[in-house]
Amino acid sequence: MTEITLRDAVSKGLREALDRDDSVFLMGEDIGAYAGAYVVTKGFFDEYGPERIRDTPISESGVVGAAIGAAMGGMRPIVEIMTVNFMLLAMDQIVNHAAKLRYMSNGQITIPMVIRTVTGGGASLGATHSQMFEGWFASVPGLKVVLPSDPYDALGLLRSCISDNNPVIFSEHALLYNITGDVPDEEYTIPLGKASVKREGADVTIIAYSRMVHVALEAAGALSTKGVSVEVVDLRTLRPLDVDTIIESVKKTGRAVVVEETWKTGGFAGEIVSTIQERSFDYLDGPVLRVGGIDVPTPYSEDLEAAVMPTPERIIDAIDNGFGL
Amino acid sequence: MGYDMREGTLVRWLKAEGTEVDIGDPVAEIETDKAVVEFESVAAGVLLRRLVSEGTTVPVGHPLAIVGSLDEEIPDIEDAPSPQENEFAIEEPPRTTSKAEEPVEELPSTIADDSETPAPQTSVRASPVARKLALEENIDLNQVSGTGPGNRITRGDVMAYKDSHPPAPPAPTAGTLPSPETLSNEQAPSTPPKFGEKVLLSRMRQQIARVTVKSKQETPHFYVSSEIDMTAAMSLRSQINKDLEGEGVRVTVNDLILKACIGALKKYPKFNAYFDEDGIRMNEEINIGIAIAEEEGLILPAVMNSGPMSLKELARASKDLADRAQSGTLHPQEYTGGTFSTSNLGMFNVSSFAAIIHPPQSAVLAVGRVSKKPIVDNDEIKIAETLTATISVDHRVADGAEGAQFLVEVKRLLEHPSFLLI
Repeated sequence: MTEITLRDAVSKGLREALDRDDSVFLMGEDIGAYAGAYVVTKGFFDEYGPERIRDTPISESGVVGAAIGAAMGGMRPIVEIMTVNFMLLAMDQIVNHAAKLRYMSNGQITIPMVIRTVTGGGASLGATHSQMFEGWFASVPGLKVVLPSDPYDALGLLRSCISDNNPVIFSEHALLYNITGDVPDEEYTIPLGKASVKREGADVTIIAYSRMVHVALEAAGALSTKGVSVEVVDLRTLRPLDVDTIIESVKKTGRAVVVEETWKTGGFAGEIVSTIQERSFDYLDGPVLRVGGIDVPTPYSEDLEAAVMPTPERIIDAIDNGFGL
Repeated sequence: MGYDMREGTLVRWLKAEGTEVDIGDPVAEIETDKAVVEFESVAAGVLLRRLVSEGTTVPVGHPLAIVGSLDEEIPDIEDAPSPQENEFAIEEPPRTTSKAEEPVEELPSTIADDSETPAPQTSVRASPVARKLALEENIDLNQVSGTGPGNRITRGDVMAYKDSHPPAPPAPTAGTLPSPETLSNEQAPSTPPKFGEKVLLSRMRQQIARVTVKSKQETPHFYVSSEIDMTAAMSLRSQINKDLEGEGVRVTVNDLILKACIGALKKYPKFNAYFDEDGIRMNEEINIGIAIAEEEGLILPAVMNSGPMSLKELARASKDLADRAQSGTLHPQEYTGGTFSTSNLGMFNVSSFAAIIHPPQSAVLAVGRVSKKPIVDNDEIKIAETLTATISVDHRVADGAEGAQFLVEVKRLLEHPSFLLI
């Protein structure tokens, strides 16, 4: 076991892929000489050269389109879109092309492409640089959407993403790059579509992904001092969604809260709530609750931004109001 | 149709398809909760198509017929009401229970029903898992107190109830226990209490149940009573009736009470109003309701626009109302248009009682019998004919003092009955 950061875990996964497979190459804005906006590809340019570590113009649609073309031609491109906010510029390439080509060609063409991106708010980056759109992408059949919450998951999931023959969006939360965790030295992978129970409990299930897993764990810790035993389920992938793990946990606890960093209205949390009530209605001991971001463009001010984000306190309040716990 | 009516049965069509109808023409007879009434066309034109066959019960709001012009194309509407449309319909009480149809079941069906499954627990606030658990454990959720938000019954509450209420031990059996093989269906249930036959609710009974429960749940009643000296009114009445002989109309004690109420309602119009969530709706006309006991139950038709009526006209109108109630030929608006009601149990020899307000009305006056009693008048004991009147008032509309003023006005008019004539 080695303790590393989530940033190092991603770097490690990328290096492995570059080392093992000549068809793997990286494309993105400032990933080469500048080493990446979040320094994930530090040293890559010197080590692997400009052919495999390609700096691109500021043209997200062009970058993703080029990667799709390369994938159609037999390569395994890994694209870095600097943040998920900029993926809106590549929406057509991702939704109308990457997600569809395999189906529309009757399987003759596959798109083994990973789009890495940085997601989330909480760093005072203002309304246009603090968003999370993974729920939108997760509604598109043909895409896979992955959001690790710790170094172990990041490496194990990235390995599976790179070896997957479908387009995958791999979102790294900006505030999680420096968190550390133990990673086995021996090879392991984590299958896509398998959630992880990050804490076991008996009274309430909190379902979360990405940074909200840590917020949920903090709430769970505080609630345990009140005698409330909380189970925290980390979805890890929004598509494919591990419904069985969610339902199994809710059947055990009878109470569920879905926590999501982005806006509550139209969020992916609503999808999970629907699934829970469809699949485990008779096991519910209260309404299925949501704690989400407040429906406003994220404020720049640090205090105001903190006020719109889900916090452990808001989760604890929701559980108190909703379940009387 | 009726204020609280949810469905009705189309008894008979009065117009054939293809005939011309005008607005207000009776086109069908409909059995409401209370009587068979004529249903009037709300449109003018040709009755193109009947959508409901005779004898069919449909929810209020369901289209009955299409009226239009002859060259009009009839839209494609399904004849029979679909269950989705029928969302407000009352579930018919089952005519035969499934238990009774099971050949091996020897018990009267009512006993089996009561002892096997708890009653539907839809009005109780409980979580889904608490409901499921209660059903499995045969626990009546009405007996369980909820500790969740808004007193919701949770799984924990049902478990706690179960722990504190262990199931009753099996009835002690004398002698040797029969082996399971010999325990036949006929012998097995030896202890259930002996209930009598269950009388199914008539439509009128259902309607009365619904309206009175609604009234008692939603309308905060308060009551004011007063004894009224009827001596002068009774003597005036016998004189009037002597004078009216041969005119085919008699003034009853109840007519005097109605007339006095109308006078008081003119002075205190609040008691003639309907309570709405956003205000008190004053009714311009006084449609005074009279409770009439029928074989099947109670009806409360009203004498429409009774405000301007003389005592003689009122007496004629109330007699006509009672006659038509008997023959089942009241108009729907007479059932539903009442603005204030009276209930008189004097003929049953009761001294006094309190009545339930008929929503959306605000008050009802209940009167007992007129009887001779010693009263104190100017420090002398006299024999007087008295009755006790009790008004039930919706507290959302008026307060106790106002109720008292209204009743005192009724009393004043009856004790000085010449006011009833001028």
